Amino acid sequence: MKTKTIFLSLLTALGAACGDDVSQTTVSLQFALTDGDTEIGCDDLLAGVGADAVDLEVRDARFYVSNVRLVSASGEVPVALDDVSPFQISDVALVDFESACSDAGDTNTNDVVVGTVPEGEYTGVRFTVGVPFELNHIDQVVDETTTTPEPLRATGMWWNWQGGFKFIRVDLAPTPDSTSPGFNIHLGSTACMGNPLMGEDVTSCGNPNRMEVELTGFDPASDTIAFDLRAALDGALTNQNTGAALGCQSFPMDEECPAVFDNLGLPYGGVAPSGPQSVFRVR
Amino acid sequence: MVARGAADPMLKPMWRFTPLFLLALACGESAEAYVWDLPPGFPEPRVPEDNPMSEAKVELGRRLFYDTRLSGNETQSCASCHLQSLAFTDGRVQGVGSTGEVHPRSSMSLANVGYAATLNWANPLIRELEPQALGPLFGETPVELGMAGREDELVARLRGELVYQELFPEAFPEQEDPFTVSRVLAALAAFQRTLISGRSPYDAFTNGDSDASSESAQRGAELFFGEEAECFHCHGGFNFTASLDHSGQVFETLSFQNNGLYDLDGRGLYPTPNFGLFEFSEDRRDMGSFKPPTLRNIAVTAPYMHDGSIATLEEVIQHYADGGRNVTEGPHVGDGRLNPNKSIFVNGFELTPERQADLLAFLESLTDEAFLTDPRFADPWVETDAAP
Repeated sequence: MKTKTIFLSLLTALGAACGDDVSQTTVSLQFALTDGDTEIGCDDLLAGVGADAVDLEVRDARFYVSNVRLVSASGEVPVALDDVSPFQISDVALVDFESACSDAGDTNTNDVVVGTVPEGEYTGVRFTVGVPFELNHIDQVVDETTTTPEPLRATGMWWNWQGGFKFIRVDLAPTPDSTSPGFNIHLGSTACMGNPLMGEDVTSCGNPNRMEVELTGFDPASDTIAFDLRAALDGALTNQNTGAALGCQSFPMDEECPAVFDNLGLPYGGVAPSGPQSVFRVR
Repeated sequence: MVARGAADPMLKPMWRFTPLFLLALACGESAEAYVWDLPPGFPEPRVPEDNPMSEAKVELGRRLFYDTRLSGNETQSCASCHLQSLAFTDGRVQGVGSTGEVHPRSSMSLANVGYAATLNWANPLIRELEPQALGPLFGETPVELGMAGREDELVARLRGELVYQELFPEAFPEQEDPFTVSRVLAALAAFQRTLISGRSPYDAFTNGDSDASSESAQRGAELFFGEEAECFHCHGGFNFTASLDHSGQVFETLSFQNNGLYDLDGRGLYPTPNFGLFEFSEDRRDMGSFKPPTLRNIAVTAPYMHDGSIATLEEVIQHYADGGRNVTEGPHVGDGRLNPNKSIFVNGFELTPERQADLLAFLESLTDEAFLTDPRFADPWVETDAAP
């Protein structure tokens, strides 16, 4: 798989180098927050979700997207992300459906990822949900005078206990009548270690927890990429909180995590996912 | 896997550190350098190159440390969970944040925090005070000060304070606009590096004042530093901890140890969510391993352990004499004495009433009254209010 990717990338690079005549075009990937097929937003109700069919309300929904590629009959090409303040730089974009219904959020939202690709007939999209490793373990500061990339300045996306960022942040609060304590999904790299004896920073993470998404039958000009919260909670134990971390916050040995991680197509606690992710799809 | 017990071989030489450190102090400091007020024999804390010490920065940090504007609902400051009179702990079993959320862990002492190799109870990734402050400020699991997503509001609040309009530019003279979150972190760190405690009766005794320590405390010290009680392996050196870093040290010595508090499943399981170093390594052998805290001022920092689960110092001594804790009722039943991850130095020892009293007297001789009452570490806003 990896060999294939590299091979295709090389081909692409070769193509770009030789073919002065390959013109570039702007692509704008449209995202939507959904409950099944229904578009939702901040404060909206998710009725009867998870294994326990509880009622929850959206308080936060944000995630990072990187390594975006479009797929045509001849293979995949990388999407060169534009540098668009404040939601994206060339390496990573923040998709943000949170519109000040969270204490940790603000009114700014962003539902598109914009970049440049060679013109072509694209029928699929691939991307990683997460912050690239090289950026994930930088010093986290909110400081205009430093080089902290703008999309990474959102303190609500900080993941201080593991020294990185939350790749996905979904906060769901119980409705007044709900018996659920609420359910959060905070995804990020865990089991991160360096060699602190030698004063090194994080050198690797046992659980990178970067989601790989591949969607076929996708027309970037007309289709939307849905982030389906109902699908994310499919089978999740939404009526309990066994650890201190509400819902699934990537903490080890949390009963609320296995179903969520399976939906995200990620291993958890040494158990491989049953299949690819089922949370992002073409709409 | 990090440094499980790796610090131990380095401990003995470290206790005999004085000449080396004096050398370090004598060399290479310019006339304008910040002047530390160090107890005899203490090295300078390690200071990051990009955050040099200055009087103005320390004063700014002290103001910020005691400022409730650093919490979302303006009810708490750092000092709410770190009270000077309690060696900057809070006397609670577990901390309580600005929104009332109970922290899974007990508030740590900040005495000599500038010498800690790692911060927090068991986080190998946080090794400097600057990034550490991000946790209490912006962390959400649990919420402590509750500033996540409100960094602009924080900066705006501080900008409006007259005292800060003077102090921020003084502390960060090179900055066109010094009001940023990273400067807040830098100033808080600078202040915390000054929280140095080393003038206890025990220090006076080791520095030649033979009247400073009771005979009971001296017997307690012998036990403490002896191979029967084995306390010093994890609580050795000038700061009585194996987790140590300072300006003269070549290698940071990290330490995370399991002291046999729990064993829920016969395989070393600790109660969720306090898994210790396991949270980072996900190596079961690290389950229940926490940083040995400094024992300086330990008599005033009850309750004890990462989860505040031991109420008194007498019970702590009993815990180690028992070689761990057998929990026989409640949700955490299990024999911690048999925890497979337990430190090899927590083997138990014979505890007579006299030995109990001696160890207690020794530990009490580590209380530094000057530190607990030093006006340089006290709430500066009170002074301002009282001023004419």
